[in-house]
Formats: sequence, C-alpha cells, structure tokens
Amino acid sequence: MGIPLHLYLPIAGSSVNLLAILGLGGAVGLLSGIFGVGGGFLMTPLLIMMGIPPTVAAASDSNQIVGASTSGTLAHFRLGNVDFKMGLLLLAGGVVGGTFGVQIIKVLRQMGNADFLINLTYVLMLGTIGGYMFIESIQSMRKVQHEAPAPSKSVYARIIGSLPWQTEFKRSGVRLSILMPLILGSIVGILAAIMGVGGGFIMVPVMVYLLRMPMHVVVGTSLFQILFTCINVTIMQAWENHTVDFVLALLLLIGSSLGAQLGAKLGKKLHGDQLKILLASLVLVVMVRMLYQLLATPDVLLAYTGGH
Amino acid sequence: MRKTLSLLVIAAAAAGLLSFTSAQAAGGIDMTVEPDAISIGALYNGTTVTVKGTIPAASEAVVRFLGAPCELHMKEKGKVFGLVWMNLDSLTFKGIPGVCVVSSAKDFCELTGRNAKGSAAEALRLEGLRRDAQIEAPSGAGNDDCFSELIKLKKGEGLYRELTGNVSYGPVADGNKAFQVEIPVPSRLSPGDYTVEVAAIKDGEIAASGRHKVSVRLAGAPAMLAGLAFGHGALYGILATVIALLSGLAIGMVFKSKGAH
Repeated sequence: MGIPLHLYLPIAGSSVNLLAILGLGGAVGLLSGIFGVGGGFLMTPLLIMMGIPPTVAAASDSNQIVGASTSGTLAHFRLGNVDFKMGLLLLAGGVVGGTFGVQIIKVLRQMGNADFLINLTYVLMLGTIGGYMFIESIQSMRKVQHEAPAPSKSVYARIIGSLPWQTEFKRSGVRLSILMPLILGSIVGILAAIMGVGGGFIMVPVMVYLLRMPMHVVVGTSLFQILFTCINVTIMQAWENHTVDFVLALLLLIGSSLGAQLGAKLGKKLHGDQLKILLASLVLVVMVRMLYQLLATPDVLLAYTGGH
Repeated sequence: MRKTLSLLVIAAAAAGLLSFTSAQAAGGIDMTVEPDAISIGALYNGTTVTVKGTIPAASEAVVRFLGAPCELHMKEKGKVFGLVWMNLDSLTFKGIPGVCVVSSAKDFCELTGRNAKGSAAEALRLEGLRRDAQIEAPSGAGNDDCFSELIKLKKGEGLYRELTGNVSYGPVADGNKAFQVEIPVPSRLSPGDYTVEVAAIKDGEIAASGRHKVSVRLAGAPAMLAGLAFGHGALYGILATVIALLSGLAIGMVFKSKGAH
C-alpha cells in the first residue's frame, strides 16, 4: 500500500496533491524568509491556478502566513534582526490605515469599477516599487565598487529631522519622529486593504527608503508586523465568511515554515543590495504577469465573485 | 422579435420536458447504481460510479451524472477603454448543476438523428443545460454567449464533461440489451444529492429513461472540520490561528535545537 498523495479539503471542496501543496508552501516560504514579505501576492494566485476557490485561497493563505511569519520572526529575532518598537508603531498605523482602506474599497465597489482601480493600483505600485528598487540597487552596487558614497543631507532627511517626538530606534540604528512609522504604516495599511494583501512587499521598500532602516532589520521587523495583520485576517475570515481551510493552511505551513527558516539563513549570506535587487526582480515579474493578464484576452470571459 | 424568440425557447423547453416525461411513462429502464452513496473522507480523490441495466435493443444509452441545480454568482469580463480586461457586470446563473458528466457509447453527433438541433438527444448534452438555466444580470447584460463561457469554465474545472466510449453493451435478450457505464466522479465534489439519469435514444428521441439518486456526504475528519468551520466560525478561526502559531514556533525550535546558528 503506497503513501496517499491526495487529501480532500473540506472547505475548499476539492482534493489536492500533497507534494504539490508542500512544494508550493516551501518555495513561497523561502522567499518570505529571504525578503520578509508574507508571500500572499504570489501564493494566492498560484493556489487559484491549482483549482482552489479564490476566497478560500486568500483566507487560507493568511492562516498559513501566521505560522510562516512566526517561524520567520523567531529566526530573525535570534539573529537580532527584529526592531519591536518600530514594528509595533508601524502595526498601529497599519491597523488604522487598514480600517480606513476597507471603507474606501466599500465605496469604490458601490460606485462600480472597483476591480479596475484595484488592478491599476497593483500594477502602478508593483511597477514603481520594483523599478525604483531595481535601479537604486544597481546604482548602489556600482558606487560600492568604485567609490565610497559622500555623506549628504537631502531635503527629505532635513524634513524628517524637523518632525516632533524624535526617538531612538536602537535596533535599526536610526533616530526618527514616531509620527513617521505611524503615518507610513497607515498609508501602507490603506493600500494593502485596497489591494487585498498583507502589504509586506510595500512595507519593505517603505522601511528601506523612507525609514532608512538596514535591510536585514527590515526583513525581521516586516515579518513581525505581518504576523499580527494575518492573525486578524484569519479570525475575521473564518468568522464572517467561513473561507479558511485549515487543512490547506497546515500543509502550506509545513512547507513554508521550513522554507522560511532556510530563507532567513540564505538572506543572511546575501548582501543588502543583492537582497533588494532580487526582491525588485520578483516584484517586477509579478507586475509584468498582472499587466499581461490585463491586456491579453482571457481564455474564459467569466470569473467567480470574490478573491483578488 | 425577442418576444417571439422567448416564446419559441419556452415552447421548445416544454416540448423537451413533455417528451422526457412521456418517455418515462412509455418505458422505464431497469438499472442499478453502484455505489449509490459516496463518502468523502480525508483521502477522497474522485471515484467511479458504475451503472448497469437494460435498454431497448435498437437504442443507444446516454448516461448523465448530475449535481442538484444551484445558483452561481459570477462576473462577466469585458474591455475597459478598449484596452484592459476587467471583471465588469455581475451575473447570476440559476438552475445550473454543479457537476454534469454525460456518457455515451457513440459520438453524440451520431445520436441526434435528422433534426440535430432540436432533438431530445441533443438536449442531454452540456449545451442542453441551457434549456433549464436562467441568467440574471442587474445591468441587463448576460446572453447566450455567457452560457457558453460558463460551460467552458466548468469544463476547465473538470466538473462538466462529455465522454464517448465509456458505455459498453452486452448480449440482446427479449428485445433488450444490457449496458454498463463507468462514470468518473470528479475529485472536486461538494456534499449533496446527485442524480444518475439514463436515457435510451432512438432516432434522436428518448425511447425510455430512468433515474437514480446518489447521495454524497462528508465523513471522518472532513465532516468534523466542516461542522466546526460552518457551525462555530469564530472558534474555528481562533483554533486555526493558535495551531498555526504553535506550529511556526515548533518548527523554529526544531531548527534551533539542531544547532542551526
């Protein structure tokens, strides 16, 4: 008698191949551990492609991110890469922004064409963030090779330096106003709610470029913040919509937790600029895929309601 | 013009229904379905339902495995500004079976007789589901093309299939011939009541018919989880979160204990 390779998922109402789900979880978990992103923007579309209903895919993915980000946060905490003070302030801002974003999306849906705006936001955000990170990382790598960067105080640095309630973020090695993480956390929360994702891939560049945090601390702190966002989403989705498939989440989790541990170690071996350029490439690939989906004629001119 | 078309469709539907019921009255079909109850356990990955029976010797068997009619809420895709494809109008399909597997020994085109389009045999095919389906769209959108797109979507999911060659025949006795069909039941199956319909087709019309109920139920771990998820959503959500947290911590500990750093 062979090992059963298929398992029935009662909430998704479908049978899945165990190895395929474990492999998918492992691959996305690896990226999560390296870059500090939850991986929702990759995992959910891949689950839908495997036949999981969109609403179940999105909610179950949030459930597995709880486990993966716990494992990832622990790994980064041991490496001294989690700035709890910064993470909690970003989280507070994110909760306020997320609540506001949900209201915005409700209004957009009533007006119609909300899906158009969501997709447009996706392409613009992914294109801008990915493009900027990519170019900046290449420039940074060239500078390191040729000359030491000249210290300069930009207009942006002077503005953030003049804000009230300046405080020291020891782990990140920066001094900032507490308003900065609160405001930026709120903006990311609004965008994440509109786009229906955890927001890790927006938060990471915000931490790097606007909060001036070192890349390795960014990854650990981002995972710490994503953990709380996804706990909230999992409980709300299970309660309101009954769309969390725990068996699917557990399978993904086994793969992704192992992947996240390996990713954290791999990330430590990579230079900050290398990490940035890899994440930028990943974001740009997803953007190109989304753009193609928007422009190419779909195989079927119908879609189930729900999901993102 | 539209009114005339609607009347014609209703008349055709009524005629189809009448022919089906009269066929049942004219002659039933002796049939057995094995199994007539499917349990979806943790390791369920699709199954096979075997239907055996006898039909009039000069006819061909068309066997359908059908889910109960349900409502489907969907979005129709369209181009915005003539450039990008988006989900636009909301559509509700009513009277659509979740699953439809149609089996025949011969190619369906050979069964339809002279009047291919209006024949009863044609109505048993996937396109025939259009007869009982309703499309509701608040914006006034929704047309026959939407139904064809729905069939395309369901075929892609493996829930709608037309199979030829999986019906086999035995020897003829007393003007009847034995038939047997193996129906592949999809792995993507929801609990509920399903129906196996057998129609004996002669000259494109139904000469005899029969039907049998197949009940599909969750069993074991899937039944327990579904009960918790749908009956106690908040508790299920909290448990799912706590288990995910503990699993993440446990994996983190395992890596530490192996001296990873």
